[in-house]
Amino acid sequence: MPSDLDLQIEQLIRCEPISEEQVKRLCLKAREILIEEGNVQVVDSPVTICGDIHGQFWDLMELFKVGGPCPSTSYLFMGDFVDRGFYSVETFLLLLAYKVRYPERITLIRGNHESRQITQVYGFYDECQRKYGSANVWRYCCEVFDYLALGAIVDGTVFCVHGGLSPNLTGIDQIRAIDRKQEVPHDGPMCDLLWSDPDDIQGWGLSPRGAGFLFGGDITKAFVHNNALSLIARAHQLAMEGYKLMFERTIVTVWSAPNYCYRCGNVASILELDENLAQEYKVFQHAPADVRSIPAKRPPAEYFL
Amino acid sequence: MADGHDSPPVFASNDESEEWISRWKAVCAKDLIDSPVFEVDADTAVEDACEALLSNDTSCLAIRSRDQSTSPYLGLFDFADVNAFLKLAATQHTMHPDELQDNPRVGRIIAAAKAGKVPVEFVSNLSEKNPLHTLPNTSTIVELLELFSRGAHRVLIMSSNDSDSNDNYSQSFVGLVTDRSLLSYFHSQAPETPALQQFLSSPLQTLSLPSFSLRAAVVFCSSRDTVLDAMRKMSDEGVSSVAVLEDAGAAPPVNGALLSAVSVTDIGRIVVPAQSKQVLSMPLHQFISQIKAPDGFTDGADRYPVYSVSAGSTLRYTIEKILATTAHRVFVTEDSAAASPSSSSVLLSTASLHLRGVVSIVDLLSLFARLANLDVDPTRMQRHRRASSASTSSRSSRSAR
Repeated sequence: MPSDLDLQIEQLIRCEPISEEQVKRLCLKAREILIEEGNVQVVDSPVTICGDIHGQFWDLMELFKVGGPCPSTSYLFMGDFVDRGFYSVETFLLLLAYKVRYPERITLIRGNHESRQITQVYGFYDECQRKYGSANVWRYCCEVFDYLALGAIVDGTVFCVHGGLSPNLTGIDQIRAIDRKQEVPHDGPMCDLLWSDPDDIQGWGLSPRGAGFLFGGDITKAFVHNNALSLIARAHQLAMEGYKLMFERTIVTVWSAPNYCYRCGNVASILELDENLAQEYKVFQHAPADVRSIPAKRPPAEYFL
Repeated sequence: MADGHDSPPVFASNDESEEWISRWKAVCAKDLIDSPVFEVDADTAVEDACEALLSNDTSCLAIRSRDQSTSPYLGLFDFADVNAFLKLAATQHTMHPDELQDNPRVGRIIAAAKAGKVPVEFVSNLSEKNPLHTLPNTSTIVELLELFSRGAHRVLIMSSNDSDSNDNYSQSFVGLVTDRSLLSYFHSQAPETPALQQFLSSPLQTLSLPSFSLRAAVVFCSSRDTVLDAMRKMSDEGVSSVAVLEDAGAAPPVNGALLSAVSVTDIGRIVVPAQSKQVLSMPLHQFISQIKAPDGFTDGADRYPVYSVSAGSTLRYTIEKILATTAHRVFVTEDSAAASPSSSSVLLSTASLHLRGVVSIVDLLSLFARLANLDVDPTRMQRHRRASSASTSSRSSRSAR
């Protein structure tokens, strides 16, 4: 299996999809590994924390140039591997292959896009149909999504989650009690962890996204204090400068998809934590435009003349 | 009050309703104005008027009268009218000549379309859900509530100096109040009003909402239906949005759960500029991706594909969700695990949403109107629309049982 997997990794690194049968086996193997992980996966420093990728494969390659290749650099990806970009399939399968090949060197947690309902609307389902001619690969991947951890904690003090906090969860122990192996619910604490956003308000507010909550600096600082944390790292929102610190550096948004949707003009970043948990933000731009990086035009939709 | 709904409504006594009325009579309608009146000339082409709706980021335009001596505006134009017009354009070839005779307005539109340009005045209130309502400058919330709770979405407020004027050229409007603005006002009053607080804590299923308990009353399409199917349903049933359910024929877990929704605004945004009829035959699951594509482009903040609350959610939560998401309605769902306990995959089914009803802004305002014992019927315009579309359509109409 390892040599087979190494070949698959080589293929995926060239941005070539592997076969449906290979996807099926890879996903089964990944589930065996992920099922052993806790809802809040324990991770040791040093580690490089990354935000949303959204199928921007060539920009993921830029990320590995800046942060160092896997497995020599230890990585933690905070979800949203798929949707929006044109290479969600290759992006997710590469990260999954790395997880199976080097399980102790890469951690993947769930984003709000790792969901059947969201991927049907925001592009991953359509991409699977286009590249494989059926929904099977999409289904195999969605089954893997159900096993992804909801969060991670580095050296017991840096809490990582895709979205943010929940009014139903004051302690990290309560997150451990959730039954995570399911489709992301449309409300409740598991949904909130993947959908909420920090905001300049007091207390809690309903999110304009239609799921999750807005939470203010008071809530953030209380959570950090009550759980003896030094930082909350999260993703989920575009940061034009690649990262955004808020509430006196108690929470940071890390965003790793440069020039989001191939048009936002933002830069991206990764957060490197060394063995003393000192933070270094490395900012990077989108991959240089060449014939491989951005399709000449969006794959033609059938409905326009 | 004999609506025939599930639970008997519990409303305020006469003393309380008098108190609500006197409280609300102290608040001026003009203080709730949340939009200027955007105008358009009567002979503007429908496509250009639709573009004006989008570029002004407004939900309606006021159409200037050709003859200013009667009144400044001859009517309003909104996305529901856009949808009704497009649906007419797409289906007019299926209409029987007798139907055109019985319906001179429709005939006039079709003739104008064939001649190359349809002036927006022909399409004003084509949906029959967008009447022009105006109120004097001195109006209060009570008069607003009376109009909104009958299904209106916006009311124009006159300027202060023309109530007794004989010179109609001086008639002008300060702005308009939308249904959302009034809902937002009631919500903001809650912290200071204990009686309102209590009312807002009621679960939805204990309130007698017209489009809530009866699943047949919710207008929906399958994700395999086409854009034109959705447009037809919205126009014929007199609704501004249709729920889209996952295709019931596909393999589990995609078995009829609530996927997303399509509204008349989406039709205005995407179908009108498309300039190609092929978009009309696009399956809805594809159209939804089109609708969602621009979301989050600029702020990276993707939205949930459908806004919903559960049957046990409180009124407060429902109002807050509508206000936070700037939606016009939320769907009401229940966990499918409750509906089908024998499902083989219980974990998956607790996450899928099954449609039970829909609650719109005007439905919610009708609840406040009932506090004051005002006569309300938010579905009146919708039922009128269904009846009139049924009489012109060769297919039998769907009865809202």
